Amino acid sequence: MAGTVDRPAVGVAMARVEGLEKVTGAARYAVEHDVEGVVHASVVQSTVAKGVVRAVDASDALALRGVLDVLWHENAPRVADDDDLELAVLQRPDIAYRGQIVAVAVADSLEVAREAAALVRVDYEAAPHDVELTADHPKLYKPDKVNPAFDTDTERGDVEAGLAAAATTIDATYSTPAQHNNPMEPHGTLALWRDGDLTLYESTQGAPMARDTIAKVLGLEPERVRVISPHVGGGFGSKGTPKPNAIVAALAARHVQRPVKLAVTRQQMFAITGYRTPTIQRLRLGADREGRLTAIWHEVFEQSSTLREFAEQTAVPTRTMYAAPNRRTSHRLARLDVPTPTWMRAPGETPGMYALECAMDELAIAARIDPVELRIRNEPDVEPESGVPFSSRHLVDCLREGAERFGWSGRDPKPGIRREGRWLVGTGVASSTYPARRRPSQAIARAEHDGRFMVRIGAADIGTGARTVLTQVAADALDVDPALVTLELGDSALPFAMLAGGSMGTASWGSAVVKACALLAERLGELGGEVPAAGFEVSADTAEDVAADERLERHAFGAQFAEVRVDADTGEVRVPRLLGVFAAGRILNPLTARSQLIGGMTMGLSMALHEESVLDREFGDYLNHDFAQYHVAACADVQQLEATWLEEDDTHLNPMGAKGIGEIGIVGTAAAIANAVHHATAIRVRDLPLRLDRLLEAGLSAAG
Amino acid sequence: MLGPGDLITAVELTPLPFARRSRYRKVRDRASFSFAVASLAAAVDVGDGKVRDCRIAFGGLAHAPWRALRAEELLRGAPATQESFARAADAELEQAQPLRDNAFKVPLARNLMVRTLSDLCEAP
Repeated sequence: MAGTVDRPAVGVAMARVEGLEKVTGAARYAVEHDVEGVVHASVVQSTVAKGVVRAVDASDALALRGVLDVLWHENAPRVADDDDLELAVLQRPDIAYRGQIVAVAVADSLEVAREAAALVRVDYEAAPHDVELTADHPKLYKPDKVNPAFDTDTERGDVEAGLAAAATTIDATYSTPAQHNNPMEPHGTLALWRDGDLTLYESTQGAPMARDTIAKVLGLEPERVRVISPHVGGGFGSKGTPKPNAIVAALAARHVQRPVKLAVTRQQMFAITGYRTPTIQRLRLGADREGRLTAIWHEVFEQSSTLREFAEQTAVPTRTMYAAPNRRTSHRLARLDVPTPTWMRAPGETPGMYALECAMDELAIAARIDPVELRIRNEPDVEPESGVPFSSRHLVDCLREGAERFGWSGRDPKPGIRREGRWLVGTGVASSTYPARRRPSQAIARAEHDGRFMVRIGAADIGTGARTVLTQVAADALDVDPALVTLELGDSALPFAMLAGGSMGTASWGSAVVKACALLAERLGELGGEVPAAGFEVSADTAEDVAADERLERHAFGAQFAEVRVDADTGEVRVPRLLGVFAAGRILNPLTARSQLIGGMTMGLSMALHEESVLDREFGDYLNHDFAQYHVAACADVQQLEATWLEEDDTHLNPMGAKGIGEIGIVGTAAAIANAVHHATAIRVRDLPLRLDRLLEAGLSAAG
Repeated sequence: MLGPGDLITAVELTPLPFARRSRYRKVRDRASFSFAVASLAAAVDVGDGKVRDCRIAFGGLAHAPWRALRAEELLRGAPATQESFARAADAELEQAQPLRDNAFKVPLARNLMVRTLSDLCEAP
């Protein structure tokens, strides 16, 4: 086999291997799968934010032709494990948030199921709800750890003394609203029981891990549950762990003894499939005359539901970014009568770096130092809190390269003085960062007698291009043309693998694929290159390799530059130019990598200008339940958008030398835009999103 | 006034020749696919540096289109200057009763009217 290809497949801009299937509509997503005898479920959601269900009257619903049954906590099958109350659906009368699932109607068509759900009468005993996060909320407490297992608080040196000794200080409070993930494909499940075994066609970021969670909740051996998800239309973290729809579909299917499809609607996603917690963040920075930080203090306040503790690690990136002898970070959480927050693209880094990078901009202005230069002056030699060396860190190179490409030099720092027609013009910069980790995974590599190869791994392609990139990785490890390799993923029956999350997919799966393929090539070599008629396969597990990884700080870095225009009369903000320069190890496929990075940056722009789940204090849920009201950036909001990267050779990561790139693109974008809005208008809006009402309220006024 | 059972069968618009000098401006939170936060339609007849006649209406301020009759009245015969437009806008918006969450629409509507009328009068 050796020497059969001229050039490696990795590094080539290979188009998605399943592209044709997707553009022709042949690719099947969760609820698009068809099985014989399938029926449809539609959920009933609580109309109170706190209280108990006193009674459910399903008589009108059951009277509809085509309705099989209505389930609620009194008649639904029992779950075996209620550690995660969010997944213990239809088990008890208690209501933890408005929109929680209280019943489900099952019928032979989707239309009838929805009509039946609307006819279910639920009698509630409502209690007063508590839904509004504040920095002095009486329910704030210190969680044991923050997501997934970081220290809640950290302290180095004497932060008060560092601030007192500073020549310049900043003390500012920033806030980010709740934001909903909103992948293009809503959550959905098709549940099918056969002889006590459960099969779920599920929109998930990780079939094997979803299988284990669902099996645990239902009290089944994991071997009796299979989760299949060949194609997933995005997740952004909200499909990282199973959501209530998977359990409801499984319970309903068991109850009616028919396969059940449950398609979550866009509106329902604003209650039951997770979101990013709102945050309130107080940043205190101190710097000496040269702009060297003497103190960094980052306090975070955020929320979770009463069902499950999810403590976002918002101040964690602040521990890694800049050198300072005195530092303190803390997280406080309030468990409110709200839906359960979860991962949303770069949880922690996204809101945390918004606040830190805006505070750095405020410090640069106060200290009269260029914001790019300020960041360079505070570059640490080792990770500032752990003292552990970085495997590689090229933040300064990204800042310099970005400044060069963007035309930053000669920028007049004075805010609010550039005018082109009706537009106020400004520019801003911010840093990006995201950890580069990997987790144990397994893979099987198989050689067929006809010269083709099959690689099997329980990975997930949620639209990222994972299937394509792993095909390239496998082809190089086998030293064959990628056209000879078929990659199978998206099924819990395949070897166990890490979920698509934490930007760990490619690093984790690729390690297993390389190991399996290298082993296969070696064994085939021993066989003299002759593949037996029945084919030949080997398997690999990276658990030991990952456990043996030396202790290093592994992170990707980047720098983002934004130009904004603000209408001087109306406060409308537009972003004509956005540039991101990243150092993220070896880029395995420039086509899919660029897509990931500009996708993240677009989501960051959307966060900066548009996205806000508006809390309804009276009813206690999020008001804007659809895309007419929950704004995400439209095509017209995205103008010149450029992502590029530096060559980064890091041999301490994984066999590919790759760092994850699914999340870093969103980190820092909102800060770069907010800093540019300040540069344009001289108005500092610290609460996202940066909407025209906020700029007008802050005094933007030009006309007459 | 429509009575019960009445149907609108036609709407007749009288030609307004000076509306050749007119403009519609929609202010929105995102660049497309968005309802107006506020909008303004205006037509102005200018001669000898004065406003001979005008029509001004706002959208997005109330539950119905808001015809700026008071501003139109003040502007007829007034100099076509930014100062006149600002005075007329202030007089018009004196009637506004904003709520907590939409108070920003008063300065927004004012800016929008002054800018749009100024642009219209500068247009060749």
